[in-house]
Amino acid sequence: MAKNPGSKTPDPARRMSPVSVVLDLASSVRLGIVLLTVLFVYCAVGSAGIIYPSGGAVDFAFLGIGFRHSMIRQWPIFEMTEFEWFHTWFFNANIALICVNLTVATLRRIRFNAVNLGVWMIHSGIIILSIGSVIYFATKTEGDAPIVRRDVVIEDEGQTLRLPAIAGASGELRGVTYQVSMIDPEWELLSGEDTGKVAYSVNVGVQNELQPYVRQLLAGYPQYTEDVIPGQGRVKRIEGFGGRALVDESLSMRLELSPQDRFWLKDSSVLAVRPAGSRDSWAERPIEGLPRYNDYVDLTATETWPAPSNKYDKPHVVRPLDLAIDAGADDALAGYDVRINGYLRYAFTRSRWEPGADEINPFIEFVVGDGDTINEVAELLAFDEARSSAFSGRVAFEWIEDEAELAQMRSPRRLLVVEVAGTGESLTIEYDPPAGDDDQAEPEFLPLGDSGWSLRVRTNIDGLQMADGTRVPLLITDIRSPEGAEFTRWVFEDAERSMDRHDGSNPDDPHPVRQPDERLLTSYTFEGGLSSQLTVVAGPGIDGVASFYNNQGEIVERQLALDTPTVIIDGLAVRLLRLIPDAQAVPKPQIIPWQQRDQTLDTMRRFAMVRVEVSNGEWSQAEWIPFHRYSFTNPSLAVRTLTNWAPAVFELPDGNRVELIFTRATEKLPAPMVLDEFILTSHLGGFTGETSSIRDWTSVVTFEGDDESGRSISTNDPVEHEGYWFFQSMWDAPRAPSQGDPFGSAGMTFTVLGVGNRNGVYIQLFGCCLSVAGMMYAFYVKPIIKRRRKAAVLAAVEAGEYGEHARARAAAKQERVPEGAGASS
Amino acid sequence: MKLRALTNSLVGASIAIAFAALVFSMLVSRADRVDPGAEDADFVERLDLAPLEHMAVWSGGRLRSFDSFARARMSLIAGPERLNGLPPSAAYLDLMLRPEAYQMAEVLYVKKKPMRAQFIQALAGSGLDDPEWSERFLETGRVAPVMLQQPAIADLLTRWEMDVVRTAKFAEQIRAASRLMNPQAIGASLAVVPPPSGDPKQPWIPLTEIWAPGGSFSEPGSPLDALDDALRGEISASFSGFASAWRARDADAANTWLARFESLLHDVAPEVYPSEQHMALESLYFKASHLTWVWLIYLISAAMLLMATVYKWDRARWLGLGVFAIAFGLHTVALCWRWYVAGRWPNSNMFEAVTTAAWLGTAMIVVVELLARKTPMRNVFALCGAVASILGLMSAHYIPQLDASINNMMPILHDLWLYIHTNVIIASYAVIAMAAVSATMYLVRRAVGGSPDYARVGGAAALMEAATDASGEPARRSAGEVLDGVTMVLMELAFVMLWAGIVMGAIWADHSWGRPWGWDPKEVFALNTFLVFLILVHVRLKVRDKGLWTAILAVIGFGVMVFNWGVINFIIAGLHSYA
Repeated sequence: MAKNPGSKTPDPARRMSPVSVVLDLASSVRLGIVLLTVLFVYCAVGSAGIIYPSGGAVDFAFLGIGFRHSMIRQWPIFEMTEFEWFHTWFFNANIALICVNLTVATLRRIRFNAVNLGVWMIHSGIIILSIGSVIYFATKTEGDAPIVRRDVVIEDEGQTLRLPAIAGASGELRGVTYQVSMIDPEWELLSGEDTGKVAYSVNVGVQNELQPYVRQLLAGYPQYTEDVIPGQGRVKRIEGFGGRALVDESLSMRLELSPQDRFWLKDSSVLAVRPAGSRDSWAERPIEGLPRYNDYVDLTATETWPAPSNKYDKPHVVRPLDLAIDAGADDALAGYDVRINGYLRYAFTRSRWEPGADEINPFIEFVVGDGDTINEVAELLAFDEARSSAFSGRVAFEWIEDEAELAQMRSPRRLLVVEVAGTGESLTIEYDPPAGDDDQAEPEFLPLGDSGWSLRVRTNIDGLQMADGTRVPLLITDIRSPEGAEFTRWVFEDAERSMDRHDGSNPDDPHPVRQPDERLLTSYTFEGGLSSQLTVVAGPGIDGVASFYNNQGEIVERQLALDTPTVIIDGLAVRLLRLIPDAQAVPKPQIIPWQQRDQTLDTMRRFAMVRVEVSNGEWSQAEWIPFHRYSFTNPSLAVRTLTNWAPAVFELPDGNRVELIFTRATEKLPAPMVLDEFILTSHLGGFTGETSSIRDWTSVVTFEGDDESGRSISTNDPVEHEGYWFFQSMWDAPRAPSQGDPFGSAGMTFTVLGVGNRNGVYIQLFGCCLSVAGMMYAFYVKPIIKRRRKAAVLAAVEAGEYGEHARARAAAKQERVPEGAGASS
Repeated sequence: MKLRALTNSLVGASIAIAFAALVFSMLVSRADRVDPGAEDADFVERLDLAPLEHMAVWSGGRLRSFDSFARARMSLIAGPERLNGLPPSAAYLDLMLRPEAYQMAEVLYVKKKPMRAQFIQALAGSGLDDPEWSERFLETGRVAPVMLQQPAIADLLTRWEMDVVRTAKFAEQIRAASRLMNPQAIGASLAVVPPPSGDPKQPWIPLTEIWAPGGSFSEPGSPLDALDDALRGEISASFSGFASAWRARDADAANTWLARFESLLHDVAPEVYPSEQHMALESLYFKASHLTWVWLIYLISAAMLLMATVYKWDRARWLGLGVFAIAFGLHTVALCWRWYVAGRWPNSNMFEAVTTAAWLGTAMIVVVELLARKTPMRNVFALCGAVASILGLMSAHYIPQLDASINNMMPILHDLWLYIHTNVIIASYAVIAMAAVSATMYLVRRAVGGSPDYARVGGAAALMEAATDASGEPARRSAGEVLDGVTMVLMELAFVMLWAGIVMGAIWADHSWGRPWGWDPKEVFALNTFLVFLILVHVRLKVRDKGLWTAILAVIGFGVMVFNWGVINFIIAGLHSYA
């Protein structure tokens, strides 16, 4: 940006005028430098935050120095995403001033000629880029749309049920339950001329009263639809169906493409409302001013569970929040006051046992361990069989109603009654296990009269843990039959559970464990005693809380004290934390300490939640609602990998029930679209489940009304339709069955496409290209032009065209470097 | 004058000899050492592990040489130093074939020193905190697998895992190392048998399908069912024989069986088995430490060129340029070698970005040095290029976060713009580093009292002027003018390339992520680097002390670029965290 060498010194009077002062300022290079410096600082702190050395807890260390990192734009006074930080009035004003400075300086200071063409191009390019960016960002719409590969359409007696083909999706039609049980995206056909081809296979379980079965549907091959009866195989191979492929040929079931007509806007927040149980679209109420990065709760102590101690090394501060959510339309909550008065960035709803139940429901919480490094917390409910013990049944909690019960516990009674069927010969044994050591001589067999049967009790297990978590007493006996065979019988109180166990070493006896020999009847009664190795007891029948420990047959009894470790035996201690006789489950949000937060899930707001209060002056109800990434109309679509799904139901005083979710705003796609195919391509060796083995994902889609069908969208290869671009964004990865997801999935049942417009992008591109060309001109063409001009002038001087004096001056100048070339000019 | 020239020569020669000795000692120290202990020394010395260098292992969707695969695995298990002095492939096999020998051995690597200190602290008072062990552990970072069972250590690891933001990754590294040294896991990781069908989409078959510690076995439904029974039996028998010989420390038998085993693997599906040459070159590439030690040769050239610049010593100039050419040649070999082994241009992870950036920058500097050969700026460009390459290659050699292993690219990187945008950007970063070298020299010169000179002719124009005096020699310019001129030439190059690279990145992002600009930290700091140079260009117009401000801003620009590559990439991760 050279000062125009031809410009004259401004008239002093003109220079003093306000207009010229403004113009001088606007064309000042110094102002430009200041504005660029401000832009640099603003970008740096907005994008990277600030990093400062810290002597205490640190986020990271470098060269032995600890540092903390703080993201300024996330501070409560800002609460801004990157996009928001770079669209504040301050940022926009800074960019606008740079453009004004650039324009005025260029027009006033740089003459438009061949030498200055590069600078003109650079400055013009930047201004054009800015104009394009204003258009681009002012009209930007960006989001994503999940599209399911197929729907299952079931028709019965004129009624229709439509289920998304996603494992676990279910619905009911005319009293029959249908559930998508398994999907194989690459089912190899084994029939007829299609043998070897691969099809998308969907299995649907049909739960009716007469004959439950599974129907297999193959996309593109309806002729191969067939039913399978679990445990019996394919229907057409089962006698009685006459070679038919289907159990019920009147039931129509087929696969259809699943249209998607909406997309969900990035970083938006709405409350979505509809009548509870409805399958209608959600009405959306935009949430203005919702924070994102910090926690806001009115009364932390009562609204959330306290964070685990010593988990924070940054102070955890919460603030109040009160946002009125206006009705955008006449939705199911019209007439009610809807407010958001709590926001948690990363929390989940957790139930804790608290006092206040109407009935006795004893709950105890204690720490069991070695009293030093190993400490495990047990939370037990005395009246809930599945929750009355922990650690594989080794620790249990019992509620003692009276002293007799306590006495029985201290001195249990084990009574075995044995009877030889049909003879009247019987024997009653009250078994008292020997105390302590293992060197006891084996007891003698006791004969049952002259029947030839004899028996002895080998040992007892007073609390054998069963598969359902319950504990039952067991007596193990050795029996000799009249034939001389010897076997072991496990005798339970519940005779159905008793069993005979024969020597498994006999190869001719393939079933060493079998039903009890019916010729010898046994029954067992267990009264009192300890059902676990460590039993903690409380209740009206005992003072305070006590523990009973079975130390190799010897019962060690200890009184437990609150918050004080009590040594039971060497290496085993118990510390009582809470005892609640009238416990009830109370759900509240539990804030996750920041160190335990998953960054990706945090970014996706997977664990964000808001507290919504609905009221009408006389009545109010408040609920914590987690963030739902998608507001599907059909809950069957809400697979865990896509979104949370926990709508809060509000029981309105007028009797209506309304469900609410905290989610993102939606917009209509330019046209409904379907996913024809989803193709996964892999590297050498095929897809192994690891991301590194994936080469690409391709969604083959068709837009309604589009001339072209089956358009492929893959990574780096988007598709444009009516002003919107569609990008491959996410996919349905295979997942193993797990708790809460019993079916698991082979994946590839849906795709997620990024959707966005890009108005002004070509103006931006033109500006960029112009500036790049300008830089190259200014740095590499301009010096050539100047050198040629200089050479021409020197040649003319040399030729004497400017006289002898000029030639002498030029010769003298040769010794000095000419000024004005390159970027320094 | 003669005495002074002689002194200079002696000083120069001494420095050259010292550097050569340093290079030699470092290379020797990295050579394969075998120090497994007296009882095994003979066995290990007589082992011939050459077949492992061309045996292929299928892992992560690509084929690697056994040697390079084992090297990467052993680095995860036992860290960068050799285990018992064994070559990595032998150590990896030994972990699988003689697991009992390692139960009590100090094998597992704890990378971070503060974490080692916490280990020792956790064991305080437990009777296991032997001072000798503590000292050794702090030094080597290796701990015995049984130590992880100690309640105090188990508790410590659990506490680390609770902090997913800061320490969970360290606990996971240690647990992963423990899992990886499990003999079954090693066997399962060694997918060395090609699919009998020869179908490239079929997975390769792991050792566990043909061999188990108790002898060979056959599971119904094995992918090897499609293989000819005789060949299958031979493969199984040869590895079993190898395993038995290994355990019996019979080196001759082990060599015979291993060679047989390796040769049989080729016969399973020759059409998908990679060439021996490819595998051998991959093994050699990693064995040669990916040639990142070439920084030492650049160091020698930099020393020579510095002397040539400071003393105007012509012999040092030619010597320096010669060594620089050798270094650049080796650097080029390293780049092409990796290109061949990976099957793609190396620019898709941090290691490749840094080493390729250094090469691109140096390649450009060779051109610029040629253009500047008749100007007073000659030598200085090569010096800047050498120093920038030293920085780049040293980083690649010593910083563990710059992982040298070769992996498949993420799907999003499969695009023409990867090669255009990334290379332009990283080349601009290299040039920024070089500009910072000349700028630093200028600042040092000013700090020791140099005059505030600056180049009257800036940038490329200076090269075009080809300022020579009447005798054809470069015109005399002060050191300040020369250094400032070099900074400006390089700054101009960086300015254009960086801006063009940012624009190209926006074009790629537009069709890849759906928006040309997303304000993610990597993008913003590339823009910030450019902003510094934009400020530099305009500050130079207004200030009197142009040379000083140019140098200061060039160094700041370099700092912002390093911040982008280091802190933003590794700490404030954004969308670009894979590159």
